[in-house]
Amino acid sequence: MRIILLISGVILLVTSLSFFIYEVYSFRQNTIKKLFTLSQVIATNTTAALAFDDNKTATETLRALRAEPQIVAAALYDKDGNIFAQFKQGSAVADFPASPGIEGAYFNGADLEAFQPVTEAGRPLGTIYLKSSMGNMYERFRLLGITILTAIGLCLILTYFLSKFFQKSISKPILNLASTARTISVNRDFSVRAVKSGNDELGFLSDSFNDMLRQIQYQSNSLKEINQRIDKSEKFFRAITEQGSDMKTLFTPAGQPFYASPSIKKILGYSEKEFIDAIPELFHPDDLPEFVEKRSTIIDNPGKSFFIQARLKHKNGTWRWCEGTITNMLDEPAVGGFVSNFRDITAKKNTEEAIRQAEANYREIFDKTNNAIYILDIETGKIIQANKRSHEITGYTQKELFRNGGKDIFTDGKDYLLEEAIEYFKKATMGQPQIFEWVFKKKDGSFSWIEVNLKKATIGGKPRILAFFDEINERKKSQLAIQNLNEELERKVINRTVQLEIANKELEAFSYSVSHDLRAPLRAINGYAKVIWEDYQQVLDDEGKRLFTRIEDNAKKMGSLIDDLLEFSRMGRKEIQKSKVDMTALAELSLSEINSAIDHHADVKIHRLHSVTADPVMLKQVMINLLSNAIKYSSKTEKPFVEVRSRLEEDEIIYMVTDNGVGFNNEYVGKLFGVFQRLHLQSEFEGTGVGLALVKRIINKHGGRIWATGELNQGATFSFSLPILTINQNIKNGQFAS
Amino acid sequence: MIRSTYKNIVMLLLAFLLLASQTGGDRDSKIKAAFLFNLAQFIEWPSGTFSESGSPLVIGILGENPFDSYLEEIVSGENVNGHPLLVKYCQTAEEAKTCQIVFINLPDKNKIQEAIIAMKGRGILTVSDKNNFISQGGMIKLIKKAKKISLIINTQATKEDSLTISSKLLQIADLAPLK
Repeated sequence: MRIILLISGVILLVTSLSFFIYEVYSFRQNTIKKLFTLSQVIATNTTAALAFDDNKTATETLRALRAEPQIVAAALYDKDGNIFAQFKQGSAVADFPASPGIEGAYFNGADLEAFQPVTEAGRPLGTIYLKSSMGNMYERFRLLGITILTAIGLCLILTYFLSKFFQKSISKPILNLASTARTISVNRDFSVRAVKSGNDELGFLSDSFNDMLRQIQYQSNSLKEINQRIDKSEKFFRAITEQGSDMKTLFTPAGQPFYASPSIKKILGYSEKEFIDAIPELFHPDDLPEFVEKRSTIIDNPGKSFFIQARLKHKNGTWRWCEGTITNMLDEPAVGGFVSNFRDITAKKNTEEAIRQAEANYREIFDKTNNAIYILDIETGKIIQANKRSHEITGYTQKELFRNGGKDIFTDGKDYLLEEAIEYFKKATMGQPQIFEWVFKKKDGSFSWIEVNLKKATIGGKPRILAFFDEINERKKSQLAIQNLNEELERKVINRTVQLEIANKELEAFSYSVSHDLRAPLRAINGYAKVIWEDYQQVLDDEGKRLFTRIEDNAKKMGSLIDDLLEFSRMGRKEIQKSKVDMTALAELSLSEINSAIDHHADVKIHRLHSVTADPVMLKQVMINLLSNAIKYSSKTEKPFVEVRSRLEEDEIIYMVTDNGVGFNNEYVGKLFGVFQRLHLQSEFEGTGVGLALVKRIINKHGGRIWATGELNQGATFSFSLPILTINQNIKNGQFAS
Repeated sequence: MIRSTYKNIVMLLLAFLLLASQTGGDRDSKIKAAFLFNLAQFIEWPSGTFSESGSPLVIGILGENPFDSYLEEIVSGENVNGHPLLVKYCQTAEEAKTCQIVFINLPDKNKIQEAIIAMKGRGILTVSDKNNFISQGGMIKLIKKAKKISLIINTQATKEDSLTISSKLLQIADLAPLK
C-alpha cells in the first residue's frame, strides 16, 4: 500500500518535472523563434531604406512593432554600426547597445535580445536589434508549477482509495492461479486447468494461463512422439548397419574403437570385444605400412577418406582379404570420430588369382605352340602381340617386329609383296579366313617357307586379325619333288601320245593307199573279165561259164570291199561338222532311201526321236547302216518288224533299232563291230563286214557308245548313245576351241 | 566578410579624407555613385538582357564623369546575381546602348532628350540628377531633398521598358505622377 503510493508519487513527480522542463524549454525556443521571425520581417522591409539612406522610412517600419507588446525596444544599425533608426514600446525606458552585437539571441536577465544582419541579395546592409521582455514567460511558468503540484496531490489521494478497493478483487484470483501453477509444477500434470473468476482482465489471464497449459501439454506430447520417432529411426539405422555384411567400426579421435558392427563376427570371427583387442595385430605385416601411410593422410583432414585392400587376421589365425574405406568424420558432430567400412573380398581375390593363373596358362600355350602367332591391328595391320615361337621362326625379337608393324620383315621391303599381303589381309578382315604360302627372309638372311593362316578374331573385346605362321620347308620340299615327278610323267605321256598319233596316221595312210592301190589291178581284172565274157562266151562250156561268173562275182565283191574299206578309212580322217539334227526326219529320210534301193516287206516303225547336236551326214550313214541291217537280218522272218526309238538319259540320248530277225549268239557279241567280222555266211546275208565297224567309228568320234543285245533267232537291238553336249563339255572336248 | 570589412574601412577613410578636404558636392557625388551601385540590386532586367549567366552588368556614364573614380572603386570585384559589375564611360548615346544602367550627365536638355529616346525600348535603366529628367521620359532621378539624396521613380517608363523595380525600392522612393 505504501509502496504503491510511493511509486505513484515518484512517477507523477518525474512526469510533471519532465513536462515542466519541456514546457520551459519549448517556450523559450518558441520565443527565440518568434523573435527571429520578427527581426527577419523587419530586416527584409528595411533593406531599401538602408541602401538609399532613408532613416525616416526605416523608423516607420520599426514603429509597426507597437503591435507586439513584449518587444520593448528595437534598433536598426547601418553598415558602419551607427544607429540608423530606433523604436521604444510605450513609455518603456530602454537603452540600445552602442554598436550591433554578434548575430544570435541572448537572455539578459528578464529580457531576450537578438541581433540579425540585414542583407540584400547576400550583401550586408546593416543590423537589426530587438529586445523582448520575458516577464510574461516567468508568470506563466509559476502558474504551471502550481497546477502540477495540485494535480500530484489529488492523484495520490485518489490512488490510495482505489488501490484499497481493488486489492480485494484482484489479489484473490491471482492467489488461486498461483496455487494451480504450483500444483502443476509439482505433479507435472498439464491437464489441470485454472478456474476462471470473471470476464475481466483476471478472467482473461486465467484463459491465457489455460491456453498456455494446453500448448505445453500439446508440445509435451509431440516431444514424446518425436523422441519415439528418433528412437525408432536410430533402431532402424542400427538394424541396417548391423544386418549388412560390411564391417563398420567407429573410432574416437584418439583411435580408440567405440563401436563395431556384428558382421565382424561373421567375417573375422571376433566378438566386438575381442575385435577391439585384436586391432593392433589386425593388419598383415606386408599390408601394414600402406595402411599406416594412408592413415597419416587423413588423420588431420576432416572429411578426407582413403581406400585400402589388405589382409586382416581372422580369429583362427588365417588371413582374409578385405577392402574398404576409412573416413575422418571429426567435422560431423553426430559421429565425431573415424568411420571404417570394410568388406570381405577373399573370394574375389581368389577369383582374380584364378584368372591370373588361367591367363598365365594361356600365355604359356600361346608361347609354346609350334606356330608363330601374331595379333594384328585390324585397321593398320601392325603387330600388336607376338608369341615366343615367332621369335624362333623369324629370328627377330618382339621389339624388332613391333618397330614397323612387321611390314618390312615379311615383305622383304618389296612393294609387290606388300600389295599381295595387303590383299590377303583385307579379305581376312572381311571374315574370310586366308590360308596361303609365303616365303620370307629370316634375320640371318636365309629364306623360309611358311604357311600363313589369317583369321578374324575378337581379342580383348576388339576385332583383331590372328596370324598363324607354320614353317613348312620340309613339306614344301617333298611337294616340289612330287610336282617335278608329275611334270616328268606328263611330259612322257604327251610324247607317247604324239608317237601313237603319228603311228595311227601312218597306219591309216597305209591302209588307204593299200585300198586305193588294190583298185587298179581289180579294175584290170574286171575289164579283162568283161572282154573275155563278151568275146569268148561261146567257147566256154557251161562249167566254164559258171566258174567265170564266180570270178566276176568275187571281183565285184572285192571292189565293194575295197570301197567300204576306203569309206571306213576316210571316215577316220573326216572332221565332224556338227549341227542340230532332227533325228526323226533323218530316220525317215534314211528309210525312204533304203526303200528306193532294195525291195523288202519289213514293217518299219519310227517313233518320235530326240533331236541331238551331231554331224548329220555321218548320222545318216549310221541310221542307213543300222536300218538296212535290221531289214536285212529280219527278211527271212515271217513278219519282219523293225522299230526305232530313243530315250533321254541324264547326259546322253540313247537311240535303239530293234528287229525280230535272226539275232545273234551273244557269245560273239564282241566281234560284231570289228572290220570284216561277220557272224553269218555271205550266202545267208550279203555284206562286207565293214558296216557296223563304220557305225562304231562314227559314234565313237561323237563321244558316244554303241552296243548290241540279242539272242539267236530272237531278234536283236542295236543301241547307240550320243552325249548331250553342254557348253562345259564343249570346251573340255575342245570342240569350240577354234 | 574580410573583403567587405576591408572595403568598409577603405570607404570610411575615403569619407574622412573627402570630408576634410573637399566640398559637400563631392560627398553628394559619392552617395550618388553608391546609389547607382545599390540600384543594380533592386532592379530586375527583362529576360534576355544578359546573354549568359556570367555576363557583366554594365553601368554606363554618358557625358562627363561626375564620380571621379568612386564608382569604379565601389563596383570593382562586386557582382549582382552572378553578373560582375563594370563601368563604361560613353560620349554618345550609341555607345551607351550596351549598358544596363546609364547615368546621363549631359549638359544640354535637348541632348538628354535625344539620349532618353535613343535608350528607349532597350531595357536600359536611365538615371540622372538633371532637372526635368522625369518629364522628359527618364526613369530614376536622384534629387537632393532636405540635405539628403532621394529617388524619384518614373514607374510608367520602367514598365514600358519591362524593368521590374523591387517593391522595397518603391517603398522608399517618390513615385512620379502618371501621365
